[in-house]
Parts: sequence; structure tokens; C-alpha cells
Amino acid sequence: MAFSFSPTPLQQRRLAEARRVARKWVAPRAAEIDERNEVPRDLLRRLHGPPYRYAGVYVPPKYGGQGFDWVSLYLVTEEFARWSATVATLLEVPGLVSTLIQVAGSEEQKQRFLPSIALGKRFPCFALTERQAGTDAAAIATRAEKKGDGWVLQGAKYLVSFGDFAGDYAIFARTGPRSAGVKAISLFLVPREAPGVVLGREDLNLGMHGHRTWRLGLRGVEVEAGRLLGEPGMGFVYAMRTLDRTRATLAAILLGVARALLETGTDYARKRKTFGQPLLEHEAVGFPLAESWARYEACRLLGLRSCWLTDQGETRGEVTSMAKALAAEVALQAGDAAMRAMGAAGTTREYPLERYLRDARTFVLAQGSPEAQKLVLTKWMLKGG
Amino acid sequence: MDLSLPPHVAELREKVQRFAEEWMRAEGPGAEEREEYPQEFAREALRFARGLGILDLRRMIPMPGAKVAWAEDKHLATVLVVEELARGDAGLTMNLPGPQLGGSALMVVGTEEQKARWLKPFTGPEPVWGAMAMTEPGAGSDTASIRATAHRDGGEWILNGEKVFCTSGGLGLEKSRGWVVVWAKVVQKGASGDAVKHAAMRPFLVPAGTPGLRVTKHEKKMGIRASDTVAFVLDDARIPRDHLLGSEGDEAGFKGAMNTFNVGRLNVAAIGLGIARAALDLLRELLGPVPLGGPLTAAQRDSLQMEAELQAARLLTLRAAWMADRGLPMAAEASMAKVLAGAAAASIPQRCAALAGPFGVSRKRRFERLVRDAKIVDIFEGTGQVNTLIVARRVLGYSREQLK
Repeated sequence: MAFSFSPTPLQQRRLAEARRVARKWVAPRAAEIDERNEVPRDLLRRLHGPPYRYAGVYVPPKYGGQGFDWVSLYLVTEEFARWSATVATLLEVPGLVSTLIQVAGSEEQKQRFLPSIALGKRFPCFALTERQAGTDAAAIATRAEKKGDGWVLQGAKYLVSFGDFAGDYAIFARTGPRSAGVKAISLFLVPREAPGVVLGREDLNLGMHGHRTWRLGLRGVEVEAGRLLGEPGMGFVYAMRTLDRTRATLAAILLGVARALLETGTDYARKRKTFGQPLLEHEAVGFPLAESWARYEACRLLGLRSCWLTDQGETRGEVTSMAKALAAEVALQAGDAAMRAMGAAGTTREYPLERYLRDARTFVLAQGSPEAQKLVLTKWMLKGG
Repeated sequence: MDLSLPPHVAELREKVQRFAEEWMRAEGPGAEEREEYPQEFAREALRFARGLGILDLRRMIPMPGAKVAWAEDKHLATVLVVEELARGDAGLTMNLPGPQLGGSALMVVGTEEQKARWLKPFTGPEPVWGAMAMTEPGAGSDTASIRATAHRDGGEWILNGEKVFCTSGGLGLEKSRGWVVVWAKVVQKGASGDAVKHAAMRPFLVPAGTPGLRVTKHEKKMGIRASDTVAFVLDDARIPRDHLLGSEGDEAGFKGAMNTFNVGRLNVAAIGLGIARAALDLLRELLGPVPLGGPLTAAQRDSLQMEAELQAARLLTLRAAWMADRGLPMAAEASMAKVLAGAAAASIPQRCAALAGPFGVSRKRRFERLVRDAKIVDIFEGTGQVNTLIVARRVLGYSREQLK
């Protein structure tokens, strides 16, 4: 294929369908999701189940999924995020865990666990963070001790997205001494039904309503050997390999919100007249929007490029980190420009602007603050890039 | 979507990168100190370009009749080449021998006969320069309000007016037997005021040695000091009738100029990218080994933010170039690229210099020169503000035709 910035016809079709589905089924309910802090189950079923099966887009066909390439995943994610960042995470969270299983799991484990995820039958959640362990993953305290052939898990996880929709939890637990640091962390896939799994509510966040995060208690939870994914002690490596790829879709969500902010602000500024001309023509208003549009376009290309690299088999963690870190800035600046353009109107709930702003501010911290992204980048730069 | 560079483009870029590293890094500082474009380097650059079948390395004009492998990816190749040249040295990049922006105007507007005739001087063994003169003391961003005039007198055109900030004008008019493409308004003899204001503007090819043309000033600049930038006056300057570029009835005029600027925007964006790249590379060398683990320092955070901004601006520029190569309208995209690349050029070298502490202000290092060189990127061939205005209008819904 020749050098080109155009999506392939297949990618175009996937984008067009996502656009249609998002406009038709998501857009009309975004406000309601925000007001009620709840994703309606019928919407979840419609997106995850037949015919769209967005639960399986990260899973190869041989395990029952749709096997989208990463450029398609970027494009589709951004389309959903344009209308609701929360709904976009309904694709992204299963995507994260199904990618993790593909990275970590044995062939047998992939065959066992992926199909029910891909078909939307079991929702997978991700549980790494703890109260005292965020960016510093080595500080996790949840532990797993051998019992016969299986394991017993004890501990507490924090900020587990969509915890009440599970399915299964991908849980990172310590299987070795503290002194071994990240090399003693292993990955388990724990079913919700297992005795000792306890879910507790979190506080309401500023934004990303409906994307509810939960506390997960593990009180002597017993799991069989087959639920240790891959090799013991490799949990952190699996996580990093996975996040190096999936981070690009976080950028897509942030840029989808950026686009929502810009379209809303620009639309308003185009229609509203002051001093005899459209608001947008006043440079102090128009310029920040125009600059934000340029930055959105540029960062979008960075996100797409990072996905293209993964599709070529050359995932570069520093590129996805750059894309995510920059996307965060782009979204916040876009929010600022749009808010300035809309004035007081931007603060009322008559317009979706304030929701997009809250979502942007909240989601910027997902899966690692921008500062953490830059830690990944530093290491890359120091190695000589 | 496929972001692997076409092999002939990648190859070309590598060669230019080597040339820039070997020659331009070495020659740059001295030329800047003397505020003069080095003739010996110009000869070396000419030899290098000829070896690639190229007449003008900056504007990527092939030698007449030469077949170049990258012809179909010309704009992409140009962006990548110019980025490497600027990374080597921005000042020396400005006046690489060749017809320059005047050549771009000639290629867009001129007849085949004119192209052949006026490119010929550049095919000889000695460096020759061309230039373009649009800006006047009273007309910068507002190109439509230039006041230079051209009126017919028998078989000649008589030109009057004053042009400023003409890149390579001195090299083209004084230091070699080159020429300048002068944009002037076609009027009746003695016309003034409104008659001039509303007249159509056309491009005129004015060779070195034209009677009535006088270089009046060599600009002393903050940055790109090795680069030649002049002001000149036209005082009843006489040129033959066939020096009007394009066929006589042709209304190329303003649109022709603007088309030149559209693609020129990418060229300038590439310069910005190259300067910013050089600054970040220098900073990375300086940062050196740092103890890993733990929270980021402010310096680390800033340097990574800059890297992301630069890479994003670069992709935007490459995409605009790709669109130009595919014949897609790209005025808004070119403007976006120039806005961001200009912003990157303006701010990244400065932030790198700041992080470099005392090294950032030392004349012995390149940081402070990169800061000074970078300023112009956001200004010439269309300011950042004008380009932002274009983007704003596109967003407002003006058609591509309405966009200037």
C-alpha cells in the first residue's frame, strides 16, 4: 500500500457505521446517562450484543470477536466519545481486558475466556489500582497465596470501572515478597460469582457519570490454577505491554470529547451574532477555537499513527504515551476555547458543553495522569529514542 | 492508511540529512557571525543538488528534463528535505542557490517558453539566485493593497514602487546574474489612488542589471543572519513586454500568488519543524542520564510535552503535503500546519533554551541561535495570525474557493 493518510475502505466502513450507531443510539441518551449516573442496560446490550457486537472488536475472529485493526479501533472509539465519553469506555474497558488476556494468556486460556467477552456475555473489568498504589504500581498490597493447585486472594482494589457489570475481574496481586517489587506481581481472572468477592460503591465523580467506579474487596477468594493468566511474576510486564497499545484508544476518547467541545462551541459562535457579525468572526473568540481545531487535527494524527504502528507489529509505548498526554492538553484547551466562546450559555445545562468539560477534566486522569505518561516518555528518550 | 515513507523519498531525505550534518552545521555559525551568505558553501550546495538532478534544493525544482523518482511525491519530499536542511542550519537554508520563491511563481504562472528561458541561468556551473518581491512598507499581510505599478509604454513595461523584505534579492540582483519576480498592479500611466487600489496585480520578471532598479538596504535581522534580505526601489524601471509572466490575457494574478503561498506555507512549516527538532535534540543531549523511578521533574515534563507537540505538528504538515500531492484542495490544512509548526518553532527552542540554563544563553552553543532563527517562521509567507484567520473562516463554513 502506498503512503497515505486515508483510511482503507474497510476502515471507512467501520467508521461510518460507528458514526451512525453513535448518532442514533447514543447521542439521544447522553444527557440522561449523565443525569442518572447510569448506563442503561438496554443500551449496553445493544452495543455489546448482536448485531453490532462492539464488545468483541478487540478480539480476533478465531476467538469469536470482530478483530478490528487498531486504526479502526481508534476511529470507532472517537466516534462514540464524540457523543458520550462514558459510552466510549464501554468499548474501551472490555478492549483493555481482552487485549490483556491476549497478551498474557496461554492458548487454552484465550480459548476459554475470550469468546464470552467477545459475544457480550461476560463483561470484563480491570483491577490494578489500590488506595496507596496508583502510578506506583509496585506498591500494591493485594496478595495471592498458593493453596493446593489454586490460589487464595486477599486485598482491596480501588477505582474498578463498571465493577457492577462484571463478568470477571482482571486482578493484579502480589505472589512474592515486597522486596521483589514489580517482579512479584501476577495476573488473575476472577469471576464475580466467587465467594468472598465484595463490591462497594465509590463517590460520584465530577464527570464521566455512568462510568461508575467501584471498590472491590477480596476476602479469601479461592480460584483454580487456570485463572492465573500466563506466568507468575509477569503481571506488570503484561500490563505494560497491554497499556502501551490500548493507551491510544484513551487518546481517541479524549479527542472525541475535544471534538464535542469544539463543535458545540463553534456551532454556537457561528450562529450567535454580536456587534453585527457572527461571534466567531471576532478574533479574540475565533482564534482560540481555530487554534484548538488545528491542535485537535494534529493530535488525532498522532493517535492514528500510534495505532498504525501497532498494526505494523511495532507498538511504541512512547508514541501512544505522547498521543495520550497531548490529547489531554488538547481536550482541556478546547474546553477553554469553547467555554469562552459560549459565555454564560456554556455554564447552563441547556447546552451539553458543561458535561463535556466535566468529562474531559475527569477522563484526563484515566489510566495514568499526563505526568505518568511522561514518565514512560522519559525512559524512552533517555534510551536514545 | 500507510505511514511508511516511499523508498525514494526516504532515500532522498537521508542524503539531505547527511549533507546538512556535514556541511551546514559547520558553515552556519561563521556565516551568521559575518551576516553574509557564503559563496563557497553555495557552490557546494549547488554541486550536491546537481548530483540529485535538482535545480533548486529548497523549492525542489528538478533540473529541466531530469526525471526524478520522487516527482509524484514532490510536496512530501519537499517537506522532509526542507526539515532536514533547517535542522542543519536555518540561515543557510534560506538562500540555497536557485530561483527560490520566484521560481515557484514562475512555475505556477509562467508559459512554457518563459519557464525554459528563465530557468536556464540556473543550469550553469555558478550559483545564481532568483527571488520574489511582494511585500511593501504599506502592505504585508494585506497583499491586495500593494502600490507598485506597471504601465505599458510601447514594447516595454515601466515599473515603479518600493519592495521590502525580499529574500535573496541581493544575491539575485547584485551577486549573480539572477532575477526577481515583482508583483505590481497593471495601470494606465499616471494612475494613482483608487485606480491603483482596484487594479489587477500581475507578476513581472525583473533581471539583474535592469535600469531603474536599485537595492537600497540589506536588512539586519534578529535571526537567520546569514540570509540575504533586501529592500529595493523601482524608479521607472524598464523591462521588455514579454517579461510579464503568463500569457497576456491571463488573469492568473492574485490567485496565482495565493497558490504559490499555499504550498509555500508547507515549506515554511517544514523550516519550523527542523529548527524545533534541532533544539529538542540538543536538549536531549544535555539532559543526559537521569536517575529513574519516582515523580518527574518539571524539566522532564516540559521536554516530553514539547516532543509530543512537535510530532503532532509534523504529522499535520506531512498530511497537508500528501494532500497537495494527491491534488486535493488543502488551503485550510496548509494553514493549520503553518499555525502549529510556527507555534512549535516559536516556543520549543525557547523552552529548550530555558531548560538548558546557562547553556541556553551562551553564544558558544546553538540554543540561543535557534531561538533567534525560529522567530521568523511564524511571520514570513503568511503570519500565524493570518493563517489562524484562514482556519477560523474554514470552520465558519467558508468554501474552499472563498478561502484566501
